[in-house]
Amino acid sequence: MSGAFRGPGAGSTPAENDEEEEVGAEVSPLVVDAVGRALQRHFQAIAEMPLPDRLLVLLAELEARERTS
Amino acid sequence: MTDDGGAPKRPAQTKEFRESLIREMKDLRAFAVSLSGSFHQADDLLQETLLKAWSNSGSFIPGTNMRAWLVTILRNTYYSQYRKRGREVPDTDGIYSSRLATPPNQESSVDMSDFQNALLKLAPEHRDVLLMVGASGLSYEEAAEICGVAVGTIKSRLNRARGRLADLLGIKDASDLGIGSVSEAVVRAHSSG
Repeated sequence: MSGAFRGPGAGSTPAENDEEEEVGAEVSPLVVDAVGRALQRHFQAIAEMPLPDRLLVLLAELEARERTS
Repeated sequence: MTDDGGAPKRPAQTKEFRESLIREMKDLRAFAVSLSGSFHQADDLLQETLLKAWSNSGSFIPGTNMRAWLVTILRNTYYSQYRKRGREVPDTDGIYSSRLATPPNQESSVDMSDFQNALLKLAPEHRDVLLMVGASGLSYEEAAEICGVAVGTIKSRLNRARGRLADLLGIKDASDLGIGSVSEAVVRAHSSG
């Protein structure tokens, strides 16, 4: 593991050891597919919402600071 | 001029860095909402992630996946808050109050209570792996890197997350329902309530 994605604040997160985890019963491909599509619909519905104003304001402030520094 | 004059070290960002960061914001928000179950908490997380990413742009390695880098920051921020709050039940009220405050045209396109509630019943380390691989499109290897576990552990968490989610949503194996019924079951599970 090279740590390429270790961003700032990288640290311990729950169950970060390679403990032996039960794999559980194999989920059938059709169920995997159905769950996957439901998940993507849920995710896309949120991703399609406009960003809230406070984030747009923050982005604009950061951009402005960049230009003046 | 030294780097440690009080302010954090912050090399100037390239235009590419800023543009990719902005491009990732909406998907990252979907990740944060799905992980936390609350629009309010998600937006706090997103704000903190944006500030950290901006001031630590030097730690992003160009050519690597920015989404994976941002998910790493957001996830670490989430878990450090989660630990501080003593592993209490996530604040799911936020999702309903946010929905109430959402314009009607937006609300009609997303009825997330059933699906989000099912997501929140998963163990956090299963939910986040499912979101990373199943929704954000990160690879097994990237998810393994982010979680600090082996690829095999990612695969087993993913399998368990999918199985549990299917149970919670009432998605049955197609062997006794027929292929058409599987997607109908999903639609019912996703849109009822």
